[in-house]
Amino acid sequence: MNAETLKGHLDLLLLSALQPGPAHGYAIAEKLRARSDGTFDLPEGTLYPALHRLERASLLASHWSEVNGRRRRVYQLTTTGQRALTTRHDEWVEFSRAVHAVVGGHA
Amino acid sequence: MPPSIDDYLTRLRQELQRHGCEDARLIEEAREHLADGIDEGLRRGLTADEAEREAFERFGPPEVIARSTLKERTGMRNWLGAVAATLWRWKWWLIAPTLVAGAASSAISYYFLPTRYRSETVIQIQSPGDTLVGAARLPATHEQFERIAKNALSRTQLERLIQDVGLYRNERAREPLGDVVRRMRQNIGVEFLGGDNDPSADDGGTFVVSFKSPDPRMAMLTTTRLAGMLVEQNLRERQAGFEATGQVLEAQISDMRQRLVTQEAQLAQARASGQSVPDADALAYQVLRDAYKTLLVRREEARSVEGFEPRYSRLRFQITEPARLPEHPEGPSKLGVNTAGTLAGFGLGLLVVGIRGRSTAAL
Repeated sequence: MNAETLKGHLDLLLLSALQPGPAHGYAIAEKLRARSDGTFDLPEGTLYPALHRLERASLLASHWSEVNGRRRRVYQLTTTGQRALTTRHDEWVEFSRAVHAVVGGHA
Repeated sequence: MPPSIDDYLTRLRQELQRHGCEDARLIEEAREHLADGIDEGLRRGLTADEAEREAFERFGPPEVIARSTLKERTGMRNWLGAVAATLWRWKWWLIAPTLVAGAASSAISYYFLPTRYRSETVIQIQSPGDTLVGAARLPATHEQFERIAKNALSRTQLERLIQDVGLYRNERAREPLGDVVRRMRQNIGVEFLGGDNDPSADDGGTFVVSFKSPDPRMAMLTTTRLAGMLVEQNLRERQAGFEATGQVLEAQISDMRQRLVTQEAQLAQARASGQSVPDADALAYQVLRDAYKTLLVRREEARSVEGFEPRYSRLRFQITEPARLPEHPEGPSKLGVNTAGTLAGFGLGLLVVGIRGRSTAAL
Protein backbone atom coordinates (compact mmCIF):
# COMPACT_ATOMS: atom_id res chain seq x y z
CA MET A 1 0.00 0.00 0.00
CA ASN A 2 1.13 3.55 -0.73
CA ALA A 3 2.98 4.85 2.34
CA GLU A 4 1.25 8.24 2.24
CA THR A 5 -2.17 6.58 2.13
CA LEU A 6 -1.22 4.50 5.10
CA LYS A 7 0.07 7.49 7.06
CA GLY A 8 -3.32 9.13 6.74
CA HIS A 9 -4.69 6.37 8.95
CA LEU A 10 -1.66 5.78 11.10
CA ASP A 11 -3.16 7.23 14.27
CA LEU A 12 -6.22 4.99 14.03
CA LEU A 13 -4.02 1.96 13.33
CA LEU A 14 -1.73 2.65 16.29
CA LEU A 15 -4.61 3.33 18.68
CA SER A 16 -6.35 0.14 17.49
CA ALA A 17 -3.20 -1.91 17.96
CA LEU A 18 -3.07 -0.78 21.58
CA GLN A 19 -6.73 -1.36 22.31
CA PRO A 20 -6.26 -4.93 23.62
CA GLY A 21 -3.62 -3.77 26.05
CA PRO A 22 -0.20 -2.17 26.55
CA ALA A 23 2.54 -3.09 24.09
CA HIS A 24 6.05 -1.99 23.15
CA GLY A 25 7.04 -0.62 19.76
CA TYR A 26 8.24 -3.86 18.22
CA ALA A 27 5.06 -5.70 19.27
CA ILE A 28 2.95 -2.91 17.79
CA ALA A 29 4.82 -3.15 14.48
CA GLU A 30 4.42 -6.94 14.46
CA LYS A 31 0.73 -6.62 15.17
CA LEU A 32 0.18 -4.18 12.32
CA ARG A 33 2.04 -6.35 9.88
CA ALA A 34 0.37 -9.58 11.00
CA ARG A 35 -3.18 -8.20 11.10
CA SER A 36 -2.83 -6.60 7.66
CA ASP A 37 -1.27 -9.74 6.28
CA GLY A 38 1.78 -7.74 5.31
CA THR A 39 -0.15 -4.95 3.59
CA PHE A 40 0.88 -2.34 6.15
CA ASP A 41 4.59 -2.44 5.66
CA LEU A 42 5.79 0.96 6.80
CA PRO A 43 9.41 1.45 7.86
CA GLU A 44 9.02 0.37 11.46
CA GLY A 45 11.26 3.16 12.70
CA THR A 46 8.68 5.73 11.59
CA LEU A 47 6.17 4.35 14.09
CA TYR A 48 8.13 5.79 17.01
CA PRO A 49 7.83 9.50 16.10
CA ALA A 50 4.11 8.88 15.61
CA LEU A 51 3.85 7.14 18.99
CA HIS A 52 5.71 10.04 20.60
CA ARG A 53 3.32 12.52 19.01
CA LEU A 54 0.27 10.63 20.23
CA GLU A 55 1.80 10.59 23.68
CA ARG A 56 2.37 14.34 23.59
CA ALA A 57 -1.29 14.66 22.67
CA SER A 58 -2.18 12.64 25.80
CA LEU A 59 -3.77 9.88 23.76
CA LEU A 60 -1.08 7.48 24.89
CA ALA A 61 1.03 7.03 27.99
CA SER A 62 4.30 5.16 28.19
CA HIS A 63 6.87 3.92 30.64
CA TRP A 64 10.07 1.92 30.62
CA SER A 65 9.64 -1.70 31.61
CA GLU A 66 12.28 -4.42 32.00
CA VAL A 67 11.38 -7.89 30.73
CA ASN A 68 13.91 -10.73 30.66
CA GLY A 69 16.73 -8.26 31.11
CA ARG A 70 15.58 -6.09 28.18
CA ARG A 71 14.38 -2.51 28.64
CA ARG A 72 11.30 -1.75 26.61
CA ARG A 73 9.18 1.34 26.31
CA VAL A 74 5.62 0.16 26.83
CA TYR A 75 2.73 2.19 25.43
CA GLN A 76 -0.90 2.14 26.48
CA LEU A 77 -4.09 4.01 25.68
CA THR A 78 -5.17 6.78 27.99
CA THR A 79 -8.83 7.50 28.68
CA THR A 80 -8.63 10.31 26.16
CA GLY A 81 -7.00 7.95 23.69
CA GLN A 82 -9.77 5.40 24.22
CA ARG A 83 -12.39 8.03 23.43
CA ALA A 84 -10.44 9.21 20.40
CA LEU A 85 -10.21 5.63 19.15
CA THR A 86 -13.97 5.15 19.45
CA THR A 87 -14.68 8.37 17.58
CA ARG A 88 -12.17 7.73 14.82
CA HIS A 89 -13.30 4.15 14.45
CA ASP A 90 -16.90 5.29 13.94
CA GLU A 91 -15.75 7.88 11.43
CA TRP A 92 -13.72 5.28 9.60
CA VAL A 93 -16.61 2.82 9.41
CA GLU A 94 -18.85 5.50 8.02
CA PHE A 95 -16.22 6.67 5.58
CA SER A 96 -15.35 3.18 4.33
CA ARG A 97 -19.03 2.29 3.92
CA ALA A 98 -19.56 5.42 1.85
CA VAL A 99 -16.47 4.77 -0.26
CA HIS A 100 -17.50 1.20 -0.78
CA ALA A 101 -20.98 2.28 -1.80
CA VAL A 102 -19.51 4.55 -4.43
CA VAL A 103 -16.66 2.50 -5.82
CA GLY A 104 -17.77 -0.98 -4.80
CA GLY A 105 -19.60 -1.63 -8.08
CA HIS A 106 -16.42 -1.11 -10.06
CA ALA A 107 -14.34 -3.45 -7.97
CA MET B 1 28.59 -7.70 5.97
CA PRO B 2 25.70 -5.54 7.39
CA PRO B 3 26.46 -2.69 9.76
CA SER B 4 26.25 -3.40 13.46
CA ILE B 5 23.42 -2.01 15.59
CA ASP B 6 25.81 0.59 16.97
CA ASP B 7 26.84 1.67 13.45
CA TYR B 8 23.19 1.96 12.48
CA LEU B 9 22.33 3.94 15.59
CA THR B 10 25.28 6.27 15.01
CA ARG B 11 23.95 7.03 11.56
CA LEU B 12 20.45 7.51 12.92
CA ARG B 13 21.76 9.91 15.58
CA GLN B 14 23.64 11.87 12.92
CA GLU B 15 20.57 12.09 10.72
CA LEU B 16 18.45 13.26 13.63
CA GLN B 17 21.04 15.91 14.45
CA ARG B 18 21.18 16.98 10.83
CA HIS B 19 17.42 17.44 10.85
CA GLY B 20 17.57 19.31 14.14
CA CYS B 21 15.55 16.77 16.07
CA GLU B 22 17.84 14.83 18.35
CA ASP B 23 15.95 12.27 20.39
CA ALA B 24 17.79 10.06 22.88
CA ARG B 25 14.64 8.12 23.68
CA LEU B 26 14.10 7.28 20.04
CA ILE B 27 17.68 5.96 19.84
CA GLU B 28 17.09 3.74 22.86
CA GLU B 29 13.85 2.42 21.47
CA ALA B 30 15.49 1.81 18.10
CA ARG B 31 18.24 -0.23 19.79
CA GLU B 32 15.69 -2.49 21.49
CA HIS B 33 13.58 -2.74 18.37
CA LEU B 34 16.52 -3.81 16.23
CA ALA B 35 17.64 -6.33 18.83
CA ASP B 36 14.13 -7.80 18.87
CA GLY B 37 14.09 -7.96 15.08
CA ILE B 38 17.45 -9.75 14.90
CA ASP B 39 16.40 -12.25 17.58
CA GLU B 40 13.22 -12.96 15.70
CA GLY B 41 15.13 -13.52 12.44
CA LEU B 42 17.53 -15.89 14.14
CA ARG B 43 14.57 -17.85 15.53
CA ARG B 44 13.28 -18.26 11.99
CA GLY B 45 16.60 -19.81 11.01
CA LEU B 46 18.28 -16.83 9.34
CA THR B 47 21.97 -16.34 9.67
CA ALA B 48 23.20 -13.50 11.82
CA ASP B 49 23.98 -11.38 8.75
CA GLU B 50 20.61 -12.09 7.20
CA ALA B 51 18.78 -11.38 10.45
CA GLU B 52 20.56 -8.05 10.92
CA ARG B 53 20.03 -7.02 7.31
CA GLU B 54 16.32 -7.81 7.56
CA ALA B 55 15.98 -5.94 10.86
CA PHE B 56 17.63 -2.82 9.45
CA GLU B 57 15.52 -2.96 6.26
CA ARG B 58 12.33 -3.29 8.23
CA PHE B 59 13.25 -0.47 10.59
CA GLY B 60 13.96 1.76 7.63
CA PRO B 61 16.81 4.00 6.48
CA PRO B 62 18.00 6.47 9.14
CA GLU B 63 17.30 9.47 6.90
CA VAL B 64 13.69 8.34 6.41
CA ILE B 65 13.17 8.03 10.15
CA ALA B 66 14.80 11.42 10.76
CA ARG B 67 12.53 13.02 8.17
CA SER B 68 9.52 11.35 9.73
CA THR B 69 10.53 12.61 13.18
CA LEU B 70 10.97 16.14 11.85
CA LYS B 71 7.60 15.99 10.13
CA GLU B 72 5.80 14.82 13.25
CA ARG B 73 7.40 17.57 15.31
CA THR B 74 6.75 20.25 12.75
CA GLY B 75 3.15 19.18 12.86
CA MET B 76 3.16 19.77 16.60
CA ARG B 77 4.74 23.17 16.18
CA ASN B 78 1.84 24.15 14.02
CA TRP B 79 -0.55 23.35 16.81
CA LEU B 80 -1.81 26.92 16.83
CA GLY B 81 -3.24 26.35 13.39
CA ALA B 82 -4.76 23.09 14.56
CA VAL B 83 -6.25 24.82 17.59
CA ALA B 84 -7.74 27.52 15.40
CA ALA B 85 -9.23 24.90 13.13
CA THR B 86 -10.68 23.06 16.11
CA LEU B 87 -12.19 26.22 17.54
CA TRP B 88 -13.78 27.00 14.20
CA ARG B 89 -15.12 23.51 13.86
CA TRP B 90 -16.75 23.62 17.28
CA LYS B 91 -17.51 27.32 17.25
CA TRP B 92 -21.13 26.91 18.38
CA TRP B 93 -19.97 25.01 21.43
CA LEU B 94 -17.95 28.12 22.21
CA ILE B 95 -20.51 30.76 21.28
CA ALA B 96 -23.53 29.15 22.95
CA PRO B 97 -22.17 28.93 26.53
CA THR B 98 -20.68 32.39 26.19
CA LEU B 99 -24.03 33.87 25.25
CA VAL B 100 -25.94 31.87 27.85
CA ALA B 101 -23.53 32.75 30.65
CA GLY B 102 -23.50 36.41 29.63
CA ALA B 103 -27.30 36.55 29.64
CA ALA B 104 -27.51 34.66 32.94
CA SER B 105 -25.00 36.95 34.66
CA SER B 106 -26.92 39.98 33.39
CA ALA B 107 -30.16 38.60 34.81
CA ILE B 108 -28.54 37.70 38.11
CA SER B 109 -26.89 41.08 38.50
CA TYR B 110 -30.18 42.82 37.68
CA TYR B 111 -32.41 40.85 40.04
CA PHE B 112 -30.10 39.77 42.83
CA LEU B 113 -27.36 42.40 42.96
CA PRO B 114 -29.08 45.74 43.38
CA THR B 115 -27.04 48.88 42.86
CA ARG B 116 -25.70 50.34 46.08
CA TYR B 117 -24.97 53.96 46.88
CA ARG B 118 -22.59 54.99 49.61
CA SER B 119 -22.71 58.30 51.43
CA GLU B 120 -20.11 59.32 53.98
CA THR B 121 -19.32 62.08 56.39
CA VAL B 122 -15.99 63.03 57.92
CA ILE B 123 -15.77 64.00 61.58
CA GLN B 124 -12.74 65.62 63.13
CA ILE B 125 -11.79 64.62 66.66
CA GLN B 126 -10.08 67.19 68.81
CA SER B 127 -8.27 65.92 71.87
CA PRO B 128 -6.76 68.36 74.43
CA GLY B 129 -3.76 66.12 74.86
CA ASP B 130 -3.96 66.23 78.67
CA THR B 131 -4.97 62.68 79.41
CA LEU B 132 -4.53 62.66 83.19
CA VAL B 133 -7.32 62.66 85.73
CA GLY B 134 -5.78 62.75 89.15
CA ALA B 135 -3.31 59.90 89.10
CA ALA B 136 -5.21 57.90 86.41
CA ARG B 137 -4.49 57.99 82.68
CA LEU B 138 -7.37 58.40 80.27
CA PRO B 139 -7.74 55.87 77.42
CA ALA B 140 -6.15 56.82 74.08
CA THR B 141 -8.28 58.74 71.61
CA HIS B 142 -9.04 55.71 69.46
CA GLU B 143 -10.06 53.70 72.52
CA GLN B 144 -12.39 56.46 73.65
CA PHE B 145 -13.75 56.70 70.13
CA GLU B 146 -14.40 52.96 69.91
CA ARG B 147 -16.30 53.02 73.16
CA ILE B 148 -18.37 55.97 72.01
CA ALA B 149 -19.12 54.32 68.64
CA LYS B 150 -20.11 51.07 70.32
CA ASN B 151 -22.53 52.84 72.63
CA ALA B 152 -23.89 55.12 69.92
CA LEU B 153 -24.57 52.26 67.51
CA SER B 154 -26.12 49.90 70.01
CA ARG B 155 -28.94 47.67 68.92
CA THR B 156 -31.51 49.84 70.67
CA GLN B 157 -30.27 52.98 68.97
CA LEU B 158 -30.22 51.36 65.56
CA GLU B 159 -33.70 49.91 65.98
CA ARG B 160 -34.94 53.40 66.72
CA LEU B 161 -33.13 54.78 63.69
CA ILE B 162 -34.54 52.08 61.42
CA GLN B 163 -38.06 52.93 62.47
CA ASP B 164 -37.55 56.69 62.40
CA VAL B 165 -36.05 56.78 58.94
CA GLY B 166 -38.11 53.92 57.51
CA LEU B 167 -35.21 51.71 56.54
CA TYR B 168 -35.61 48.13 55.34
CA ARG B 169 -39.39 48.16 55.05
CA ASN B 170 -39.54 44.94 53.05
CA GLU B 171 -37.05 43.17 55.27
CA ARG B 172 -38.87 44.22 58.42
CA ALA B 173 -42.04 42.66 57.04
CA ARG B 174 -40.47 39.23 56.86
CA GLU B 175 -37.55 39.23 59.32
CA PRO B 176 -37.20 39.85 63.06
CA LEU B 177 -35.90 43.32 63.88
CA GLY B 178 -32.71 41.81 65.29
CA ASP B 179 -31.88 40.35 61.88
CA VAL B 180 -32.60 43.66 60.22
CA VAL B 181 -30.21 45.38 62.64
CA ARG B 182 -27.53 42.84 61.73
CA ARG B 183 -28.18 43.55 58.07
CA MET B 184 -27.88 47.27 58.74
CA ARG B 185 -24.58 46.86 60.58
CA GLN B 186 -23.15 45.27 57.43
CA ASN B 187 -23.93 48.47 55.56
CA ILE B 188 -22.54 50.84 58.19
CA GLY B 189 -18.93 51.86 58.03
CA VAL B 190 -17.17 53.62 60.91
CA GLU B 191 -13.46 54.00 60.28
CA PHE B 192 -11.06 55.78 62.59
CA LEU B 193 -8.23 57.31 60.57
CA GLY B 194 -5.96 58.48 63.40
CA GLY B 195 -4.21 61.83 63.61
CA ASP B 196 -2.45 63.75 60.89
CA ASN B 197 0.71 64.05 62.92
CA ASP B 198 2.62 61.70 65.13
CA PRO B 199 0.19 58.92 66.15
CA SER B 200 1.95 58.52 69.48
CA ALA B 201 1.11 62.11 70.32
CA ASP B 202 -2.57 61.13 70.54
CA ASP B 203 -3.65 64.54 69.31
CA GLY B 204 -7.01 63.47 67.93
CA GLY B 205 -7.73 62.41 64.37
CA THR B 206 -10.62 61.93 62.00
CA PHE B 207 -13.14 59.23 61.36
CA VAL B 208 -15.43 58.49 58.49
CA VAL B 209 -19.01 57.35 58.95
CA SER B 210 -20.70 55.82 55.92
CA PHE B 211 -23.84 53.96 54.98
CA LYS B 212 -24.74 51.95 51.89
CA SER B 213 -28.24 51.74 50.50
CA PRO B 214 -29.96 51.04 47.19
CA ASP B 215 -31.53 54.49 47.58
CA PRO B 216 -29.02 57.37 47.38
CA ARG B 217 -31.24 59.71 49.41
CA MET B 218 -31.62 57.09 52.11
CA ALA B 219 -27.86 56.60 52.15
CA MET B 220 -27.31 60.32 52.75
CA LEU B 221 -30.08 60.67 55.33
CA THR B 222 -28.97 57.65 57.34
CA THR B 223 -25.32 58.72 57.26
CA THR B 224 -26.30 62.11 58.63
CA ARG B 225 -28.30 60.48 61.41
CA LEU B 226 -25.50 58.09 62.27
CA ALA B 227 -23.02 60.95 62.53
CA GLY B 228 -25.47 62.82 64.74
CA MET B 229 -25.81 59.79 67.00
CA LEU B 230 -22.05 59.64 67.43
CA VAL B 231 -21.79 63.34 68.21
CA GLU B 232 -24.65 63.15 70.72
CA GLN B 233 -23.17 60.10 72.39
CA ASN B 234 -19.89 61.94 72.79
CA LEU B 235 -21.64 64.90 74.35
CA ARG B 236 -23.41 62.60 76.81
CA GLU B 237 -20.12 61.00 77.75
CA ARG B 238 -18.44 64.38 78.15
CA GLN B 239 -21.20 65.45 80.55
CA ALA B 240 -20.96 62.18 82.43
CA GLY B 241 -17.22 62.66 82.59
CA PHE B 242 -17.64 66.13 83.98
CA GLU B 243 -19.91 64.87 86.70
CA ALA B 244 -17.57 62.01 87.46
CA THR B 245 -14.64 64.43 87.66
CA GLY B 246 -16.53 66.64 90.10
CA GLN B 247 -17.25 63.67 92.30
CA VAL B 248 -13.62 62.61 92.30
CA LEU B 249 -12.47 66.11 93.21
CA GLU B 250 -14.96 66.35 96.03
CA ALA B 251 -13.83 63.02 97.42
CA GLN B 252 -10.17 64.04 97.21
CA ILE B 253 -10.85 67.40 98.91
CA SER B 254 -12.83 65.73 101.69
CA ASP B 255 -10.07 63.21 102.30
CA MET B 256 -7.37 65.87 102.23
CA ARG B 257 -9.32 68.09 104.60
CA GLN B 258 -9.73 65.27 107.05
CA ARG B 259 -6.01 64.60 107.04
CA LEU B 260 -5.22 68.32 107.38
CA VAL B 261 -7.54 68.72 110.39
CA THR B 262 -5.97 65.72 112.09
CA GLN B 263 -2.48 67.05 111.47
CA GLU B 264 -3.38 70.50 112.77
CA ALA B 265 -4.86 68.97 115.93
CA GLN B 266 -1.68 67.02 116.56
CA LEU B 267 0.51 70.10 116.07
CA ALA B 268 -1.73 72.23 118.37
CA GLN B 269 -1.61 69.57 121.04
CA ALA B 270 2.17 69.44 120.84
CA ARG B 271 2.50 73.21 121.13
CA ALA B 272 0.04 73.33 124.08
CA SER B 273 2.10 70.83 126.03
CA GLY B 274 5.26 72.90 125.41
CA GLN B 275 6.88 70.32 123.21
CA SER B 276 8.89 71.41 120.18
CA VAL B 277 7.47 70.36 116.77
CA PRO B 278 9.95 68.38 114.68
CA ASP B 279 10.84 69.99 111.32
CA ALA B 280 9.71 66.84 109.53
CA ASP B 281 6.17 67.14 110.93
CA ALA B 282 6.07 70.83 110.13
CA LEU B 283 7.17 70.14 106.55
CA ALA B 284 4.59 67.37 106.11
CA TYR B 285 1.91 69.72 107.34
CA GLN B 286 3.04 72.39 104.87
CA VAL B 287 2.95 69.94 101.95
CA LEU B 288 -0.53 68.81 102.96
CA ARG B 289 -1.69 72.43 103.02
CA ASP B 290 -0.31 73.10 99.56
CA ALA B 291 -1.95 70.01 98.11
CA TYR B 292 -5.27 70.92 99.68
CA LYS B 293 -5.00 74.41 98.28
CA THR B 294 -4.32 73.05 94.79
CA LEU B 295 -7.42 70.87 94.95
CA LEU B 296 -9.54 73.81 96.01
CA VAL B 297 -8.24 75.84 93.07
CA ARG B 298 -9.03 73.01 90.61
CA ARG B 299 -12.57 72.73 91.93
CA GLU B 300 -13.07 76.46 91.45
CA GLU B 301 -11.73 76.22 87.92
CA ALA B 302 -14.09 73.36 87.12
CA ARG B 303 -17.03 75.36 88.43
CA SER B 304 -16.21 78.43 86.37
CA VAL B 305 -17.70 78.62 82.88
CA GLU B 306 -14.36 79.31 81.19
CA GLY B 307 -12.66 76.49 82.97
CA PHE B 308 -15.38 73.95 82.27
CA GLU B 309 -13.60 70.94 80.90
CA PRO B 310 -14.61 67.45 81.78
CA ARG B 311 -11.62 65.34 82.74
CA TYR B 312 -13.01 61.98 81.73
CA SER B 313 -14.07 62.07 78.11
CA ARG B 314 -12.45 65.13 76.62
CA LEU B 315 -12.93 64.52 72.92
CA ARG B 316 -14.64 67.12 70.81
CA PHE B 317 -16.31 66.02 67.58
CA GLN B 318 -16.65 68.39 64.67
CA ILE B 319 -18.29 67.45 61.38
CA THR B 320 -15.93 68.70 58.69
CA GLU B 321 -17.56 67.07 55.67
CA PRO B 322 -21.33 66.56 55.88
CA ALA B 323 -22.97 63.64 54.11
CA ARG B 324 -23.72 64.25 50.45
CA LEU B 325 -26.15 62.75 48.01
CA PRO B 326 -24.08 60.11 46.17
CA GLU B 327 -24.13 60.67 42.42
CA HIS B 328 -22.66 57.36 41.34
CA PRO B 329 -23.35 53.87 42.64
CA GLU B 330 -20.56 52.32 44.62
CA GLY B 331 -21.25 48.86 43.28
CA PRO B 332 -21.57 46.14 42.44
CA SER B 333 -20.06 46.77 39.04
CA LYS B 334 -22.64 45.26 36.72
CA LEU B 335 -20.20 45.57 33.86
CA GLY B 336 -17.70 43.61 35.91
CA VAL B 337 -20.25 40.95 36.84
CA ASN B 338 -21.44 40.59 33.27
CA THR B 339 -17.90 40.45 31.94
CA ALA B 340 -16.92 37.83 34.51
CA GLY B 341 -20.00 35.76 33.66
CA THR B 342 -19.35 36.01 29.95
CA LEU B 343 -15.71 35.06 30.39
CA ALA B 344 -16.74 32.12 32.57
CA GLY B 345 -19.06 30.95 29.79
CA PHE B 346 -16.30 31.38 27.24
CA GLY B 347 -13.94 29.41 29.47
CA LEU B 348 -16.49 26.63 29.81
CA GLY B 349 -16.92 26.59 26.05
CA LEU B 350 -13.15 26.39 25.59
CA LEU B 351 -13.03 23.47 27.99
CA VAL B 352 -15.76 21.61 26.14
CA VAL B 353 -14.19 22.33 22.76
CA GLY B 354 -10.80 21.29 24.12
CA ILE B 355 -12.14 17.96 25.33
CA ARG B 356 -14.05 17.27 22.15
CA GLY B 357 -11.23 18.50 19.96
CA ARG B 358 -8.65 16.32 21.67
CA SER B 359 -10.89 13.32 21.32
CA THR B 360 -11.57 13.74 17.67
CA ALA B 361 -9.11 16.01 15.95
CA ALA B 362 -6.18 14.60 14.07
CA LEU B 363 -3.33 15.83 16.22
